[in-house]
Formats: sequence, structure tokens, C-alpha cells
Amino acid sequence: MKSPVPLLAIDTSGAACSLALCDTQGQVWTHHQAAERQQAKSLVPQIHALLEQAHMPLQALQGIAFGAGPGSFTGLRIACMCAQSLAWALHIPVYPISTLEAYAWQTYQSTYARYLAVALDARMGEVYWGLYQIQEHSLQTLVPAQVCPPDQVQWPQAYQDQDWVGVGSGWQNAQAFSPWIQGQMQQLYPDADLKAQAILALAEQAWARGEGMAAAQAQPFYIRDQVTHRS
Amino acid sequence: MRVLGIETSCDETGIALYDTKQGLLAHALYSQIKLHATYGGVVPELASRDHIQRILPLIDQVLAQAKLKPQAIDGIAYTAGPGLIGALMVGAMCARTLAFALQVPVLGVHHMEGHLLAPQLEVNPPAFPFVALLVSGGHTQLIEVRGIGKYQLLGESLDDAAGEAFDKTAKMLGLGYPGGPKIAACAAEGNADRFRFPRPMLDRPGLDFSFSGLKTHTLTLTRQLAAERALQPQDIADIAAGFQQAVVDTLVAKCKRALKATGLKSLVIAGGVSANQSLRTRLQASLAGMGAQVKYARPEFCTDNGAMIAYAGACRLQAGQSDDLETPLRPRWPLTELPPL
Ligand SMILES: Nc1ncnc2c1ncn2[C@@H]1O[C@H](COP(=O)(O)OP(=O)(O)OP(=O)(O)O)[C@@H](O)[C@H]1O
Ligand SMILES: [Mg+2]
Repeated sequence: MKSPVPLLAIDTSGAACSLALCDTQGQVWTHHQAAERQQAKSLVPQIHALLEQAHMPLQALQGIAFGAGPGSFTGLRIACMCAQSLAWALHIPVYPISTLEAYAWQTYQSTYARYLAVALDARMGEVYWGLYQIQEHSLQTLVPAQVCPPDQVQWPQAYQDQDWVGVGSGWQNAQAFSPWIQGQMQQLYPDADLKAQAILALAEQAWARGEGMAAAQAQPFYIRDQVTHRS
Repeated sequence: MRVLGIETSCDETGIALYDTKQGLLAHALYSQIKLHATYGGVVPELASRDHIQRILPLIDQVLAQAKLKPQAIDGIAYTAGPGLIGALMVGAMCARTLAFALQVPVLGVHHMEGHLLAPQLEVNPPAFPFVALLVSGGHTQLIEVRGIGKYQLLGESLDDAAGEAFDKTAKMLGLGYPGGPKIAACAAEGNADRFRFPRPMLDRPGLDFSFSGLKTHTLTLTRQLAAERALQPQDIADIAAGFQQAVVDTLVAKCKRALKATGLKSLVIAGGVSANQSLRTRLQASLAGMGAQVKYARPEFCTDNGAMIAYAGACRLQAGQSDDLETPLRPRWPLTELPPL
């Protein structure tokens, strides 16, 4: 058995404050709480509480992972700044994890679905979306995260007829996607709520690949860069 | 006690280390002026995105300057308001997380108290009590200061802040952003007496200000001139000089009134506009006449910076004040609500 990596995963990309901690024995501790608009206040106290619950000193951590986006810009920054600061103080690496990939992994874990179309409501009539496939227990990106109106979402013919599963708030209005895309979908999970365990699992894989980065380098994946109109 | 100060309320990331025995150990600033210049003002989302890239590298820089390790930090102060909520949040998350990881106390500082106390970082710091004129991008206030946290509002702007008036007028004149320094530089080449500008609220008693009329006056004036012929650089310099003199006259007159009303002989000016050379010179000259004196910070500590936050935080942290990690941010926060030291 591989030895456990003590990692902390933080996600505040949506409406929750979600934490997952792998302790030095490999046991996973979690905390998930609806916290709309409260994340900046509650995140650090909740990390503190989870570490106490696991009887783990902060200094035992070997890496910090966070849901890097896409998601609420403010939420992404809350998790990112917290992850950066912890990693900086502890001299350990940060693992920014795509929230779309984490949704895909989480859904694979619970349903064994292997073709995952993740779409999140991006407001302003658009969705963040990406296309993922599970191969030999690992996540492959077919179409990386992007943002566009749902009716412009499309993917290569080569991926058709694959029992696609749609995950995320972007599918709440499934009729907004093109008839062809709608026809591809076998199952939809529009109410899925991202849990930090999925961030933790992907971070463990990133750790094994040596993909950690220095604290200050870890930044949110905003995907939407058009945040203003030039006058 | 060594305090790390973090300022991210608007468009500058300011970091500093202040030692209650040795004074200011190091400070560093990253200004986003270029980032926002093309938009003619601060874009909040872009400001937040920039702070989160700068904050830790600046902390590293400040620690390296002071030749200290993170473990040497005994307390952390950050700007908790007033300011842009998204920008404040970045600094607050950094401060709270570092305080938790380093196991030191943390305190959310009032940005305007930071400005107000910045002159205390200078060699001849002002002694309490004094009258403070806070003149910045978002505030124009006269305050009677009896000590840290003992503030009484004497008067304030009923509309635009003085810095805002500088910024809007500069935009109108095509001088760019931020307007204060641009107007000041341009005014140096101009004749302040060529155009007549109003002196708002001087004819009325009291200590309140109003600057929006000046801005409208400038707009009307430029339109009238432009209708006759294209504006020449000399016209713009003369308008800038006239505008600046009107603002300075008004500020000086109200400061004198405030000193008379309170019977105090000491004035402190703070905030971005207090960097204005014409304001400094005029105040010095006219307060000398009434046996009073004016003090201010070096120009780089007039505008936003980390040193003032480290200092204000250090005063309060040393006195035993601190926040728990769940204290909310205060994007709007009257200075008079602060507890006394
Ligand atoms: N030399 C100067 N003359 C006049 N105004 C100046 C000068 N230098 C800076 N300013 C003005 O100071 C303001 C910036 O000051 P400061 O950074 O204190 O304000 P702020 O942080 O935006 O607002 P606040 O502190 O009220 O929240 C700008 O409006 C700028 O034009
Ligand atoms: Mg300021």
C-alpha cells in the first residue's frame, strides 16, 4: 500500500465551505457546510476545527489543494488566498485543482460514469464547461474548461454516442443546449454539489505526478477574463 | 512587538513591517495605476485579481529587506474597511490565514485611521490633541483627534471628496488618472488668476465641504472655451491652476475655522491629497499667522500604503486589542465607531 500524503483540500467555489483532510494515517476527514457569503469568515475557523477533530498539527501537512475554478470569483480567491498563505507559512506546495475536473471525478466515483460533460452556470447567459473521460482510473481532459452561451457548446463528432453524463448547475436549463448535445446526454445531475473530497483525490494524483507549485504561483482559474467593457 | 501590515482596500497592494521599539523596519508597495489607467478609474474585479498575485511576493520582499523570517512576526494588521469588498477580502484572507498558521493575533484596521496616523511615522510626529484634515480619493473630513480612537467629526464633504474632484477634473481636461498629481504638475505651468473659480461653502458657516460645483464649473468653462477655439495646453494649465487654487483655498479656510472652533494649535493633514505641495505651502504660511502649525507624512505615506496599516495595527495590538477570525469586513465604516485605545 502506498503511504498516505497528509493534504488539506479547500473548496469555496460555490455556495459551500467544503474541506477534506487526509491525515498521516491516510484517514480522510471532511467538513461540508452551506456558507453563502460567509466563506471569508468561516473558512479559517473551520480548517482549525477539522484539524483538531483529526488530532493533526498544522505542521504535519505536506500540501494544500484548492478548488481553483471556474466558479464564483470571490469564492475562488478566498480558497486561493487561504491555500497560498497556509502553504507559504508551512513551506509546502499548493495544488490548484480544476473544479470542472473535480465534478467529473466526484460523479465518476459515485456513478462509474466514464464520459462526463460538466457545465456550471456562469451567469450572463453563459456556462463554464469542459469534457472529461475516465480511462484506467484516471481523468483525461477531452475539451478543457471554457465559457460560452449553452447553445454554442459543441464537441467533436468523434465523441458522440458515448453515454454522456451531464454534471453541474449548467444543466439546470438543459433546453438551452443544442438539440444535438441534448440528444447525446444519457443522464443529468444538475443539482450536484462539489465536495472537497474530489479536490483531495485529484490533488493526491497531482502530488504523485509532482505537480505542486510555490505558494504565490497558485492562482484561480477564472476562465472568464472579460470583466469590463472599455469605454 | 513586530507587526506585519497588509493594505488592499483599493488599487495598491501595500505591505510593511513595523516594530513598536525600532519603528518602521521595511515597506513595499505595488501600485495598479497602469492596470486601471485605460479605464479611467479602478475596476474592482481587476483590482482583486491583481492583489492576490502581489501580496505574498511583497511580504517576502519586506521580510528580506528587514532580514527576518516569518516567525519573527508577532502580530498581523490588515485593512478591514472602508474600501472595495473584493479587494479587502484578499488582504483579510491572507492576514487571517497567516495569523492562524503563525499563531499570532490579528486585527482589522480602519483604512482612514491608517491615513490619520501615517504622520506619526515621521521624525517629528504630531502630538495629541490635534485637528486632522483627511483628504483622499473617498473622504474629505475634519476631525478633532484627542488620541487614538478618540475622534470627533467636525465636518465633511456633502458630495465629492477632494481627491475625487481632482480625479474627475483631470479626466475632463484629458490629463489622465489619478488626477491629483497630474493636475498639480499641470497647474505649475498655469496662471491661477486667469479664470475665476467659485470657493464653495466659504460664504456659509460650518465645517462642511462641497466640491461637485467646482467640477461642474470646470466643465462649463472648458465647453465655453472649446466652443470658441480648440483648447491650448496653456488653457488647460490655467484651468488646472485655477481649480487647484480654489480647492486649496477652501481647504485652508476650513482648517483655520476648525482650529479656531476647537482652540487647538496643531493641524495634521493626511490622505492622498495631503501630498499636494500647494496645499502644504499655503497651510504652512497661513497657520503661521495664527500661531499654529501643520504636519503631514512623506508623500509616499500620504496615498495608500502598508506602513500606515502596520503602524495603526501595532498601536492597537500592543494595547491588547485583536479580532477573532470571524470578524466581518466593513466596506462602509464610520471612523467615529472605532473604540478608543
Ligand atoms: N499631489 C496631489 N495633489 C492632489 N491630489 C493628489 C495628489 N496625490 C494624490 N492625490 C489624490 O489622492 C487620491 C488618492 O489618495 P488615497 O490613496 O489616500 O485615496 P483612496 O485610498 O483612493 O481613498 P480613501 O483613502 O478615501 O479610501 C486621489 O484622488 C489622487 O488624485
Ligand atoms: Mg486611501
